[in-house]
This record gives sequence, structure tokens and C-alpha cells, in this order.
Amino acid sequence: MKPESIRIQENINLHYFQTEKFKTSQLSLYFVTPLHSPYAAAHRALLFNVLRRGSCAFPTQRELGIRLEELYSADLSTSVFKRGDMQVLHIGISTLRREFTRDGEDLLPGATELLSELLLHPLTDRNTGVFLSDYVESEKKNAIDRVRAQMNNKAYYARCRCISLMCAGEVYGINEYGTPEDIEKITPASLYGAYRALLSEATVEAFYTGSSPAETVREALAALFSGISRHPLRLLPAEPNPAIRRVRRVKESTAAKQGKLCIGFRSSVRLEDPMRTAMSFFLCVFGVSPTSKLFANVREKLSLCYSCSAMSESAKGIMLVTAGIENRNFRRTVREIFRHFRAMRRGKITEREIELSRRILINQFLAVADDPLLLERWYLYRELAGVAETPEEAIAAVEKVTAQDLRAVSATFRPDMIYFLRGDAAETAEEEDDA
Amino acid sequence: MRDMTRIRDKTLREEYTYIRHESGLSIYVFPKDLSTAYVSLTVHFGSLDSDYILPDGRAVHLPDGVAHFLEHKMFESEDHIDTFDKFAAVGASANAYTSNELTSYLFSTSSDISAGLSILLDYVFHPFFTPENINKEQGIIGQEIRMYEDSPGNRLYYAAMEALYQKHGIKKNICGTAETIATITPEMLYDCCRAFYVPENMTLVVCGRTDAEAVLSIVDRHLSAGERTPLPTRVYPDEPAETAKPEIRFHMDIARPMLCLAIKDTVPASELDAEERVRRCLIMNLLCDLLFGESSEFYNRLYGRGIISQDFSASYESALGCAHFLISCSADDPDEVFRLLVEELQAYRSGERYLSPTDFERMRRVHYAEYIKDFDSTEEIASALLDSVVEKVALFRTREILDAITYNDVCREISTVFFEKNMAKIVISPIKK
Repeated sequence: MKPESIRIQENINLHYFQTEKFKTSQLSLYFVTPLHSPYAAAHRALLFNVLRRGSCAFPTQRELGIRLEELYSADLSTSVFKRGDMQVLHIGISTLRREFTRDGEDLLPGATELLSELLLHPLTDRNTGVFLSDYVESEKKNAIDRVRAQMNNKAYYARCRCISLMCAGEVYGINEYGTPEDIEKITPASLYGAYRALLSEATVEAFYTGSSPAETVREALAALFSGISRHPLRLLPAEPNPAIRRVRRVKESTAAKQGKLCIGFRSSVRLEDPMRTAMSFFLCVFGVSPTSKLFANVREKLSLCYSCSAMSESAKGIMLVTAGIENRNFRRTVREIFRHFRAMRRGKITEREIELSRRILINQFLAVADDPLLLERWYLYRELAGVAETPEEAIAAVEKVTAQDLRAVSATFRPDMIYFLRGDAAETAEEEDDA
Repeated sequence: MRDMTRIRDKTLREEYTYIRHESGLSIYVFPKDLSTAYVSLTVHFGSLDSDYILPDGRAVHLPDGVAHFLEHKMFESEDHIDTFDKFAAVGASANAYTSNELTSYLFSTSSDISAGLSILLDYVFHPFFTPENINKEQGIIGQEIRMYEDSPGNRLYYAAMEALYQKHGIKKNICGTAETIATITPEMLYDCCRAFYVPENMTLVVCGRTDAEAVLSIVDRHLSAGERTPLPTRVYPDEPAETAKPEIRFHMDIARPMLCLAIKDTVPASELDAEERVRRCLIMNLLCDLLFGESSEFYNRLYGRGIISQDFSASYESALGCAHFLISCSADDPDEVFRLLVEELQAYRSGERYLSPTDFERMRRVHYAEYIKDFDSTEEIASALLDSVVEKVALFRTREILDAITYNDVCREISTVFFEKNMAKIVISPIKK
């Protein structure tokens, strides 16, 4: 499925998908800014949470909630994530198509009105002209609690720690949710300033998937952005990965039953690189599917773990290999993971492994068209990387990947950090590590 | 003449076909024009089925975790070719899961489903267990158990079940424990397969770009009318009305305390027929959302005071022979939240607070919309179909039952369930450092 690209304004684009295959229509806005300071990142991350608390027409969260329910349980979602050295704020609304409402009611006008309300008419204090202190203080507390709650999911926490240690000093190392210290410093006035700055400075990639005409959607978005004075910031690709002198090792401890291992690798290959397809292929063969080297060996053959897999951040060129293991199997698991990594480097990949991964990857790319969110992310990531590629074109590229291509991609990887979060509630003691 | 029925819902613009195959297998084919097809072959055997009586009169008691262990081991085959590889070779991605009542083997694919369906019908009916492959799995499942032991949500749920239920098997961990799975032998697993992994105890659900004829042509190649062995008689413990423990408290390495208020339903599921059970479930979920959902007065009042935040959730669930409400959240003062919840329920019971008909109609609209949205994914459709088989109420009938529920139906239940003697408090506190 290829979108129709419609320019709303300079640095505001609509990617429009005409389809009747879903029972819902989805309208999403992605506000993209450079990730340049932890203080600014903390402000932006908090923003949509405060906007949702109140606007002129819906001064309380409850009134907004009731309005969404009246719109046939319209699904309003907001999120923050990092993409290379960019911070992305997402706000989206999904509504039932008119054919499925009781009286054929078109919900798009209600949806765009709501987005407009939240983005352009936030509730402000009559005296100060900025956000309400109550709303800002309570959302600051929620944000800090959420950051502190990362430790509740040990696997996620281990990944966050690995990235934060590995990329300390790099732009990518900036926490996209804000640190508790930076969140604490936010005031209603500083947040309001960040809000005005976002509307002015962010590049906006809008997506619509549904059956309303393109012109209707374009008009609604043009109206939404018409009153805003715009000075978009330039978006740059992520900083190159630094040269690696030696593999760093960090161990931390937590009162958990299971240890969590996270190994960070760097590669020069990113989404904009022609080797991107070979990279996805590499990941699949090495550690993404049940047919991968990591699953088949570290889990199935050696029973060292229930989950062992690889994931990547293709805008930055980072791969993380993670596993949940007993403390005493730390050294053995690291050895095994590197053994299979070296096998990839030496081209010790069978024809069967390659063909299985080819089928799996094609399957994955075909599935993109089944989910509006997957479609949005596919095209957003490529838009930010300056790449034009449909899932169909990616499939054609997957068909052509050879063992030689995989060797070439393997050669671009360097291990950077071995991070281990020891599970100290486990009975067995950990082996001593090598000096 | 094949027993084949087509069921259509005009509002939804969807239809499916049900076939009772001569082998005894129940088949549901739901055509859907999406790229990814989803296929599951499910055995009606789950973690609750630890006690049963064979046709010859022998009583069997299984250690906890057998159904889940069996699910893991089904992927082994005598030809030693990895089952995941077989699926991948035909463009299919395989998986499986075990629940209280079911073990489900599934795959998804954007290629033609025939090859994948053939593999599925082959491996699930050809178990292969050896002491070596069982031993290896104990290590893997051991790590899976540890992973769940570190999950606060998982621990909170099982503590709630332990508090509410004296005997019901829902409080048992589906994976079992390292000790219980250590006692599993190949013979035990083969016996379970002989007793439960038979077509008349199984359901095949296919959702995607296909039709009944195409599916049947594959099924016919693998299964035929055969001698039907009677199914074992499952034995479930009698669960008393009273809860087991009023309170459970423990520590974990988490950032803030977590609370769960668990409420045991007063009407035993055994007293209701299938439609009444589904109706009760819909009414209770409407009630739950009205009292504690995101648009509720309670949620917004406490959120505004900073007592709770977005992770607050409330729901009603039912399984075989049990039903309960679970209201959980993280909170700086979990006992205060518990007190406020109980106070709120008392206020509704006494009539001091009450629901409005407008709120009810709006919530019914929400549930209707959520039901429609489920039909956008082959996986969700297949899951809803399977649920309807377990509940013994046809898929499209749910919406009709929802349409017939009234404001009075919901209000009436306020005085039937929310008694303190049916409640339990679970608190997880952070480890002091």
C-alpha cells in the first residue's frame, strides 16, 4: 500500500491511504524535533500528557473521556519515542467508520475537532496565561513515577541501562522521557514555552488511513495549522557511532530471580543505507525468529534461557542481544552469543537458514498492510531517513539478498557493551568474571 | 451429508462457516481479505485439567504444569526436523500457548495457508517425547517460570487468585513450578495425548483469504471418520462461596507499591446456562467500566488528587467455574486506595451514589464499538471465535445479547456482588534498600 503524499505546508506533510478494509479510520500526527538537550526532551515528553488534562471545550480529563466515548469509543493515543537523534511525539485518534455507527454518523469532523481542541486550545490559567499548575504538577509526578517504574520490568530496564551507559555523551544517550531531575525542574511557564516552540519548530508527518476523501482530510489539517507561525528546526541524521577501542562490561544487581543480559553492538549500516535490507535479513538469521541462531542454540540446544533474541535501532545503527538467564550461566551465555556472532561474520550460514529467514522476512513485510499503525511507522521511519521504499519494493529486495551480502553486513558490526543485571534473589552464585 | 452452517451478520458485514468434520473436529472458517491469515488448532485441555477419570475407570492426577509442558514438547518430531523450520519454509510463523482451559497451536502467514495447515494437522497429532528432550525442556521452562516470578503483574494476579479461591485450579501457575515439572515423564505426556488430543476434543479456526472448501480439502487429507474413544470425565473441585484469605502482602523489587482489590462473584457459574453466563459477563464489564473506567467519576477524582495514575485498571473475568473482579494499580498508599474503593462500592450499594441512564447508554455504545473493532485483525477474530466455542455462545450472538441489556439489569447487580466478605486485598511493597 503506497500513500498519496500531500503537502499541507512547509515541513507539514500528509500521507494519505485510501482504504475500506478496516472498520476504523486512523488519523495520526507525528511531531519530530532534534533531540538536543535533556532539559528540552523532558519538557516535550511531558507535553501531551498535560494537554490531555484539559482544553477550553473539555476542561477536565473526565469531560474529554466522555466526549471520546460519545464518539463511539474513539481511541485517543499519545506517545513519545526516540528515532536516531530525533524525539518524536505522537498523537493519534482512531474512529469507527460511518457504516458501523448506528445512524451513519461521520466521526471524522468530531475527531479533527478534538485534535484541534487539544493542540490549539489548551486550558490555561487566567492570571498567568500558561498551563494550570495543578495539571502540570500532577503530570510531573506521574512522569517521574513512570520513569522510576522502568525497573519493574527487568528485561526492559536492562535494555535502558545498556543504551544509557553505552551511549553516554552521545545525543542518542539522552533519555527521551526525561530524567526525574529534569522533570522536577519543569514549571507551568517553561512547559508552555516548550509547547509554543513545538508547534512552531517541529516537522509534522501526518497519516490518515480510512475512507474519507483526501481533500476533506487535507482541508482539516490545513485549518488546524493555519494560525501557527512556523520556524521548523532542521532535522539531522544521527551522529555516527564512535570508534570502539575495547568491549566495555558493566554489572549491576537487582533483587530478582533471573539475571538479564544485554549486549550492545554498533554498525555503520542504517535505514538510509542500501544495505538496510541485508541488515534486516542479518537480524532475522542471527536472532529474531524461532529459526534464528540464537533461539535454536542458546535456548533450544543449550536450554540456557526461555528468551534470547536480537533487536535493532535502525536509525542509529545499534543492535541489542538480550537474554534472561541464571547468574551462573552468564559467562557461558556470552560465549555462546559471540560464537554465533562470529559464525555470522565468517559466513557460516547454511542455505537453509538463509531461505527460512527470507520467507519469514517477506511474511513480516506483507503483514505491514494489515495494520494502520504498522503502515504509519513504516513510512514515518523511511520519511525521516530520506528513503522512499514501499513494503513491496522491500520484498523484492529481500528476494535478492545473498550470503555474500550477509557477510558484508556482519563485517560492519562491533561489540561495544556487555551489560548484566544480576538477579540477586537467585540461589546460585555467579562465576567470577575474567579480568 | 456434511454438517455445515453459514452464519452471517449484516451490520458487521462479516460471515463464517462452521463445519462438524466426520472425525469429530469442529472447524470454523472466517474469510477475511487481509494479508495475514491466522490459523489455530486448539485442544480443550488446559491447566485446570489436572484430575480426570479415564473411560476404563482409572483416576488420573497430573502434577501442575503438564498441559504447558506438553505444548512446548509438541514441537519435537521424530524426524528431528525443527517444526518452526518446517513452518518457516512455507512462509508461516508458528507459535503456541496454554491457558486455563486450552492448549492452542497456531501459525500466521501471508502465503497460501494450505502448506501451513498441513504441517499443523500433522505435528499436533504426532507427539514425540523422550527422556532427553523432556530434560532439556525443564531447563527452558525453568527460566520461563523465573521470568514470570520477576513480573509484578503476574505475581499480583496469582496472589489475587490464591486469596479468592480455596480449591479452584485457577490459582495454580499455568507453567507449574520447577519441582512439579521435574516429575514429568514421557509416559505421562503420551497418556494425556491419548486421552485429550483427539479430534472431537479439538477446534480448528481459520481466518484469512480462504474458504471452507479449501480448508476441508486439507483436513480431509489428514483426518477421517474413525472410532471415537469416549473423552475422560474431568473432575473439578467444588469451590466454596467464601474466599480463602482476606489479605496477602509481600515484597518485590519495584518502584512503588501495587494494589489489587479482588472480588469473588457471588453467583456460581454452574447455576447459569451458557447465554446467561455471557450476559452476566457483559453486564459486569459494563458495570466495571461505569464505576471505575476512564470516564468514571471515581477514577478522575482520585487521578486529580494524584492518588492513582494511568496504570489503574478494572475488569471482570470469568473462566470455567469461577468469576471475579480485579481492580489494580500502583499507588504510594495502597491501603488508602483500597479503603476508597470499598467506600465507593458501599456508596453505590446504599444508593447514596447511582448510575445515570445516559452514562449507561454511552457505555453500551462503547462496548458495541469495541466489539466491532475486534474484526479488523485475523488474530483477534480467531481469538473471538475460539472464545465463543468455549463459552458455547455463537460469535455474532454476543452483540444481540449486549443490545438487549438494560439500565436496570446493570443497576440490579450493584447489590448482588459488592460485599466485603467476597473481597481480598493484595499489596506488593518495594524492598527497602
